[in-house]
Amino acid sequence: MMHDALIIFRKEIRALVKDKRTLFSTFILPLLMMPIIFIGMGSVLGSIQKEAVETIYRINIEGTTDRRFFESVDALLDYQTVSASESSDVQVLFPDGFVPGNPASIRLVYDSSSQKIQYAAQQISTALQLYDRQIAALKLSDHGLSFDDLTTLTVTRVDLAPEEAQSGGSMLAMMVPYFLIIFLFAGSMSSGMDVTAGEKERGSLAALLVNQVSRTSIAMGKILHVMTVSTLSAITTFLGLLISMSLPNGTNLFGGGGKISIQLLSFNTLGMILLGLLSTALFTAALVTLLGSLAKSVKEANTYVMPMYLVVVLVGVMTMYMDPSKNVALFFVPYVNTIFVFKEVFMGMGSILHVLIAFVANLAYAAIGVRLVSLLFNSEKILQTV
Amino acid sequence: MVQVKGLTKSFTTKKISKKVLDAITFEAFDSQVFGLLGPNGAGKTTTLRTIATLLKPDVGTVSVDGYDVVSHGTEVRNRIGFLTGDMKLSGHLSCREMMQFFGALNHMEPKVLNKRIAELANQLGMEDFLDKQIAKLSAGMSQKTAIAVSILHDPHVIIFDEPTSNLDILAVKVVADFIKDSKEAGKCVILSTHVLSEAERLCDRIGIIHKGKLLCSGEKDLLLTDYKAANLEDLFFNLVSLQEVRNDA
Repeated sequence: MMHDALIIFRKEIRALVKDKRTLFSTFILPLLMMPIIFIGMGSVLGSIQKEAVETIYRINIEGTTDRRFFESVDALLDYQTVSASESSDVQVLFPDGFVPGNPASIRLVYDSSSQKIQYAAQQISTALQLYDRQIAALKLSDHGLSFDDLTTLTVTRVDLAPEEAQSGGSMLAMMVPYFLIIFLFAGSMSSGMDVTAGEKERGSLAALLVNQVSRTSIAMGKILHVMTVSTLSAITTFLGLLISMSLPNGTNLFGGGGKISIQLLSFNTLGMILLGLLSTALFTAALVTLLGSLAKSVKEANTYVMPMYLVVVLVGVMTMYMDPSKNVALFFVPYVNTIFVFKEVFMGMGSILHVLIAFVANLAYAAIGVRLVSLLFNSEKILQTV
Repeated sequence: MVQVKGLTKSFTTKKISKKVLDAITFEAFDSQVFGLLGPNGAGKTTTLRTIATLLKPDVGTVSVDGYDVVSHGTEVRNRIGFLTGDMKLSGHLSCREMMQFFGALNHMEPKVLNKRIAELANQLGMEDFLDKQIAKLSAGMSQKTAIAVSILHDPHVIIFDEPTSNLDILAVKVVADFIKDSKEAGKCVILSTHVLSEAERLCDRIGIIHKGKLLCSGEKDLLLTDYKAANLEDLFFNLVSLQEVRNDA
């Protein structure tokens, strides 16, 4: 049976390798797409920021002539003062009769729909705080005190989390499982629907089914193919994400977590990740192949597969902020188990028992999927549509 | 030889059950072409799919070379070649690779398989495009490839379901020539078509099916004489009118 399944698997892989367009969109594009998006976003953000810093703003300041305030603004922003009758980017309105050191409410008037003006308002706000602190320090010194005298407690934090979790692993534990599961499912969708509903549309599934090869072998061959494509696609997409996060712009966007992830990939953790990834890929392939087999066309298959995709996205989002759990029952639930295995691995708390439970559970579900696809290929309802 | 006895088949949806074949009985012999004729929706495809083990009879039996299609599906599939007009081989594999794939599925030894591919390429005139991607072939070339794939394992019974639908005149000739060659080689060929002129040229025996009922079956020439019809078109309309009168009565 496996021999026949491998014949079908090899044929599908050979067809895929010869299809340059699909190869590019499945493996190369995801690898390039993320870095390109991140570089693009990074450079756009960088140029917006540069422009905001280099602009000379028109500021209208009313109600004070205190040199110390103007010096604080000077330190943070290039600007020119304008009168109230002229157009201005930001207005700083001190109350009438303002006396430095007395309590006062200051109004900042600006248009927040402009990124640049928002930046200027933020800088002026900071300048006001610095000015306030300067005056407060003077008042304190009149009483022979400084700000340090107002601080009575200091806090020293002792983090008991494993080193990996402290060094950015928790961010990885939150983000990476979600991305991997989503990429895996997305990767299996097009190939899974193509080898089932797509073949029905082309009329070529009938040619396979009237062959002497068993229908279980056909189901297994197709599922193996979908699993391989989805795993490779998920890995290349994930690599693309890691590369993006390691780029200078990417680290700005993601707080530098990506660089650390590469250090975390030891032989053991890699093994655990692969076990989780492959077993989930097999289950996903079986699920998508099953749903695709129920449909008469790729369009119909989409209506069956998309709700499942949304469920997987929902599981990913719901578990994103959850801590790794000691509840063993969770490791029997598909997708949830893999997400928690990944979380544990990235936080340096990988458990062989949990990995094995998740692996065996996913394999069992995949086996049920293979059996169901095989039954479908034998069922009248499906055969009417080939 | 294919024997169909009292074949009845219904398709059931949530709301209704529709009988699509009603006690169909006919035989198709070796070295002959049996034509199953009728308009679209008459039940031709359901009949052929049942012979090809894709569907199971509700009532009645179907056997291929003595093997029952339900209890001996694998043996039946071993003996049949099945081609539908809807089948569109496509993709980036070449004709040769596609044939090698189906040959491997039929557990043919590589040596035997390569010899068979060469034979079929010669017989069907495929040498020029044997190593071309199927996606880049014309309709005629693609149909030749589909024929080659369906008979790669040298089946004794060849079932063609509307094999010339959507084909141009050159491609139709390819199929017609192949059917004649198969008959001469001693194969049992079952051909379903709604193109009566095609059946007139190719078939030795025919069965006319309408609304799931077999109106007649037997030697083509004998049927034309018995029903005093000039051609199959006359025969078809005579039988359909007769059935309508019976239904009204």
